Amino acid sequence: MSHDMIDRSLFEACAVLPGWNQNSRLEAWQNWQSMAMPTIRDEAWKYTNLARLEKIAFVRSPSTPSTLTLSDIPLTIPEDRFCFINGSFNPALSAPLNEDSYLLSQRAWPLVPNKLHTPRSYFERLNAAMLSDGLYLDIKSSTNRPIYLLLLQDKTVGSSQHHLRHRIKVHADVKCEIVIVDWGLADTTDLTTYLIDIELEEGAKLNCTHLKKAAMKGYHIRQTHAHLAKNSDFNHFNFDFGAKLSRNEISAHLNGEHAACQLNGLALARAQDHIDNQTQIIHLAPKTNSVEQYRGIIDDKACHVFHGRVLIDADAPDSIADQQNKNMLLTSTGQAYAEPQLEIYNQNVQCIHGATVGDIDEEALFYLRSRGLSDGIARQLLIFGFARNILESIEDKNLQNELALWIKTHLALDSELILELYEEHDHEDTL
Amino acid sequence: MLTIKNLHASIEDKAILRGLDLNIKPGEVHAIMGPNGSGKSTLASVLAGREEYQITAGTMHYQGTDLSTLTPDERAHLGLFLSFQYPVEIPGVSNLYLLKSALNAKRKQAGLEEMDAIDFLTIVREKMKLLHMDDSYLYRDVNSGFSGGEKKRNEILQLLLLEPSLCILDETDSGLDIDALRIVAQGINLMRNEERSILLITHYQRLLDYIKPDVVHILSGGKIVAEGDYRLATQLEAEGYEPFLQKKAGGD
Ligand SMILES: Nc1ncnc2c1ncn2[C@@H]1O[C@H](COP(=O)(O)OP(=O)(O)OP(=O)(O)O)[C@@H](O)[C@H]1O
Ligand SMILES: [Mg+2]
Repeated sequence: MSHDMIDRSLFEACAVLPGWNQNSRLEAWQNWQSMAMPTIRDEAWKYTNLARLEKIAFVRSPSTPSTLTLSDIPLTIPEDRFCFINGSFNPALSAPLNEDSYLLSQRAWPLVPNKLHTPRSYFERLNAAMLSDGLYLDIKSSTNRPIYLLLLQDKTVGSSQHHLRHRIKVHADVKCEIVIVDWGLADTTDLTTYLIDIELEEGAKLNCTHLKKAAMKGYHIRQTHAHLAKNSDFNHFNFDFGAKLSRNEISAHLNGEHAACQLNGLALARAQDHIDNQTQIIHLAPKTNSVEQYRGIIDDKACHVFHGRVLIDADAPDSIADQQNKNMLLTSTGQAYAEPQLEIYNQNVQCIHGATVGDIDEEALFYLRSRGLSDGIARQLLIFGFARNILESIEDKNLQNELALWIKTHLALDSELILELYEEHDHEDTL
Repeated sequence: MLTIKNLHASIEDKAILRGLDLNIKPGEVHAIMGPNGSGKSTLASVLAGREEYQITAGTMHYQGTDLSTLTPDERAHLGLFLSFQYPVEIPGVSNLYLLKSALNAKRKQAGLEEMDAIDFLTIVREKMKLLHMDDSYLYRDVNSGFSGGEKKRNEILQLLLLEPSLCILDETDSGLDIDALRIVAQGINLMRNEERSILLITHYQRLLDYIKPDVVHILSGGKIVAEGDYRLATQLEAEGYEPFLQKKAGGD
């Protein structure tokens, strides 16, 4: 088996990373080489066809510095930020690094949980072999200022590829917020793989919002794996604004008693976008709690796949899991696949799930129109209302407002209308 | 003035309304009663402009305008309001927002300026007080998680606010408790004036004790089979629909 998409010379050109065993890296490369690319015959890739990816000949990321500035991103980005452009760290746009935040290219990382050590899947192996850099965030004290992690893709000559691996550790009883902005600013074909390992110690709390707005022609494969100790709390919000192929694999391992996670997602797919969300919640300890809410708004010929696995182990009595997936199809050419997968090995648990795929609710549309609202406005209200439920699960109000505007722009909704919808909140607080 | 002549309407090729005639003059209150499935809600939906229904024959005019050529929102701007038998839940859209945009859409159509937030709140709170509704209903999503009776009350709140000239109330009384029925009926009575027409669809005489109709119609099999004054409702309560349905069968 050989893959033309990434030439051996690209692998050989990868920098040596401190503490990253070169042998295991070569092994990852060889293993990747010997592995066939997943096809739609593989259960996990049933609805996501990679055939076209294989035909692209990727090149090295350019070493020329990017001219991107923060003003190219329509978001308010605070000082506490770390920025990567085309897979390389950009010190000029980043906060200073220190002993609690350092790069894989600078210093060896502490060991990651064993389970994550051995790359198994096709893209994990590729990532392990081709890895260029990554950030380690060791969060030792609580802060109410969010930390931003910017993963930007700028124009490149030819089809570029970037592979990063980040690690976030939140110490015991520390509460924090991280916003990951994954943005493709040029309309080039690129392949990016990210692995993000998250570890929450006892009583830690992390709100992590991941916004992805990839290049229209981009292939984005991203994995986020979180391990939760006793009493910890992990809230993950996955906002995906589409790409040619966007695959998000997210897992939360509830390892300690009373660990709780919330995995929410909103997929806004249009044109020929393909968004594939694969989530796993693994309850391994008693009294663990998970809430999951994923929604898709699918326009044009786009597609949203949601596969949600919830496993409740025999050792996890008195656990609660609630999973909901809803899809709104705006056209008859859009597609949505909703697949809940529940594996319950303990009788003493509560588990709820539901999945729906539907058009705009005609009853609701008629109701609004009978109140004098035009067809266009009524539709926009229903679409935004559908997204809003997910949006409002974000605790950070500033971020919520910015995201509302993103959604508005992305869906070409009437800006005044959306702003007004949001203004009411302020009333609620002041009146 | 609402004028319906020989109206035939069907859904999915099933004929529901079969030659319905109805005239409502300004200031009049009409009640329509009739067995389940006789087509009462269908009539209400057809009047409000629900697109799933096909009008296969007949006409309906309101204030001289042919309703069948208008969209639901245009009909609302003309002054028509339907209080739904089953009000729809709209997740993600707050009641406040719906009320405000509905009112402003109407004002815009009438060439008036949009109402600002403070004036609007003053007015809406006044109406809510009449209906014994507290502020929390404003900030909740439209009808979401409202009880059956709360939904009906919310319909009447919209009615009071939008001040339509033709009010169609489809079983607004069903689901209301005894006190709520009285409160809602008082609200509706406040709306009665010389210009406003009201069409009440109901199964129960109780509502008509509060809001005395000028005419009571019995709808069966998609057409009006009997008409009378408010005493017809009393007679129905005592005898049921059977005598009227037989009369119709005999007459055909
Ligand atoms: N989508 C549909 N397809 C087929 N038949 C329908 C559809 N919608 C309504 N009907 C039928 O039309 C008939 C009239 O219904 P409608 O709701 O108008 O009755 P109603 O008089 O309001 O009854 P109720 O007193 O129970 O509210 C019923 O037999 C109903 O089953
Ligand atoms: Mg009915």
